[in-house]
Amino acid sequence: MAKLNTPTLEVKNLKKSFLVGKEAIPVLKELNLKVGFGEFVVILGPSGCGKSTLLNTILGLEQPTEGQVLVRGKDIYTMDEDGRATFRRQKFGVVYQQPNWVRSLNVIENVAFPLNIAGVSHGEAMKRARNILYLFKFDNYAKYYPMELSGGQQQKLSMCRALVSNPWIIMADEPTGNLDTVTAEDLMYDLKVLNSESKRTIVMVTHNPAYERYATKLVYMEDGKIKRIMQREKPMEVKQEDVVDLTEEVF
Amino acid sequence: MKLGFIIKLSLRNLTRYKLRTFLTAGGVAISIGFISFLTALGYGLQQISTNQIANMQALQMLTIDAGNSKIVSINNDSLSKFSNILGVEKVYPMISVAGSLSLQGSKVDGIVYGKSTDALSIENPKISFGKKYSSDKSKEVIVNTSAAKKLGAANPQGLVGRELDLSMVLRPELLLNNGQPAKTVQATYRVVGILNEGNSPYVYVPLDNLKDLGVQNFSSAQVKATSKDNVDKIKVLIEHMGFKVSTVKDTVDQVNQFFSVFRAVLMGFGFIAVAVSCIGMFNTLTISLIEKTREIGIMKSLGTTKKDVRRIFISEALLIGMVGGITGLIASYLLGEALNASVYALAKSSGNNPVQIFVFPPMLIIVALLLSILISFLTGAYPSRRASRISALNALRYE
Repeated sequence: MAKLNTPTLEVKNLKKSFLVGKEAIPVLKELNLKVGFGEFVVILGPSGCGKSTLLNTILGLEQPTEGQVLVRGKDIYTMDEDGRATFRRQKFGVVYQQPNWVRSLNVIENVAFPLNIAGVSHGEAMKRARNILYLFKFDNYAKYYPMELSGGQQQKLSMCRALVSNPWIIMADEPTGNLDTVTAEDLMYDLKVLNSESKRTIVMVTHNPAYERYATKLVYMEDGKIKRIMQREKPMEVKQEDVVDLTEEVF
Repeated sequence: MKLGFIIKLSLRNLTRYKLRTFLTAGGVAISIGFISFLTALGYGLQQISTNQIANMQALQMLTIDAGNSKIVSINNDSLSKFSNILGVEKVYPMISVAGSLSLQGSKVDGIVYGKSTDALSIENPKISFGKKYSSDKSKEVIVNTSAAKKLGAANPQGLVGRELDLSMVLRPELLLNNGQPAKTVQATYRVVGILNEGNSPYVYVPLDNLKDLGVQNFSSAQVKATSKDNVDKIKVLIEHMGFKVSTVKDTVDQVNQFFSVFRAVLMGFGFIAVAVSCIGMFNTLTISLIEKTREIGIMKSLGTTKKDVRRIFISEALLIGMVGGITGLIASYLLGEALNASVYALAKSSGNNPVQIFVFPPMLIIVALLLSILISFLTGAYPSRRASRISALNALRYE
């Protein structure tokens, strides 16, 4: 296990430009960011400032033009695409603005999907998915199809899916973007509990300043650069051993 | 990803669009069924023809004659050479001469064959009345029905036991010293059997009888090989001695050759159907790829590798192809057997020999299954490659 003083996430001199026609449009310009273990990072910024691109680059989905992404000290872009995919499913849980489902699978099968990718046996995957559903009070919906549920329920389900493989880091890209205020607050509360009780490192991207208050670290982005980083409180003094395994037997 | 999960996922995807899957697999079933049906017909017709030509024993026989050669002739010397060849079981010499048969004033021209009792038992002719001659020395003759009718016997059966006068022309090459003029000999025989074959008149007499009349060389000889695998080798050796050799196996080989071409033509028709079903399958898989773009996006962002994405699509293709192929094969087998059964019933009721028109050798079944796997890989290759190369982010943005 990596040393605790190694940042959980580190972004070094990150540059990313997109080719539009023959012109290279810079989207990320020399970004540097460190995220410690157990932090709740909220990245704020207007649309088009590059915050989603930053998130996708950290996830290993968007090859940077320059710079490095280190996860617990490991430079993820030294791995090939399949290597990063495997790494991603082991270390990250992802929640998007839109819940994307495998439509032929029902709720519990979708939640168990990341475990199936990892080659976990059917019985074990189902058991762990059921535990997560129970935790989020979705156990009655296991046999539904995700599209039959409301938007808020679907977002919560995609959190279940993100958590089922017990990842270090939860990455959330505008998770409340499609939700009404009450449902959104509910979801944010869940994230907060995950961070404080279950000791997950969370990186969330939003354009809504209302969620500043959940953050332990606030990152303001503008035009592909980090304008300001605000440390709200000291990162929690936690050890890896304190991390709660959400998929343990909860009954 | 575990193989079981991949198959489960593909099955779920396929059963989500039941009609589309059914139609695509149906296309494959029809094409595989069609091609195996036609091929089975080819095999069946081939089997019927070769069975008609020869039984197993006939395949071991070689017929030897001197052809137009002035140098070699079939005599006791050459017969012993034949029987000394490795793989030869027995040699049966035969004499055929032109002759006329007369029975109480009615007279008919025909051929007189001199055959030993051994040769006769190998040939196993269809004697409808009476029996074969008892020994190689006896003055007995077997007459075929054509000769019997031309001799004026309304009922061939009545001929058995009566005396027949034969007058035969012995050609110079049959006599001991080549160069002697042809001579005509006369002899009287007793009819012992009626042969139910042939359209022109001929009779069989014991070989030694003709020898006693002065014949020294033989017109031809039949060689029986110990097994049909030796036939080709023996043929070459005897041909090298200067004789003309023909075998039933040659004919059968030619027939087989014809039928392999015939089968290829039939399979060619089948392949047109296969090509059409390939297009249908490719179409279905490509549409399925487009529909699942977002799903591929989420699968990849959750950590599915390119290899696993490819395997999901290949397994969908394989499932359609295999289900279609097996269904088609079973359907064509059942149809073929049903037709066989009705032909069998028809043949039995009309008193003919029952035949099998459709034959499904194991090879055909294996090849048909391999073909459906091949179709799956062929049509699945492109969509699955494309799916595995889709960028997760582009796919998630895809509407």
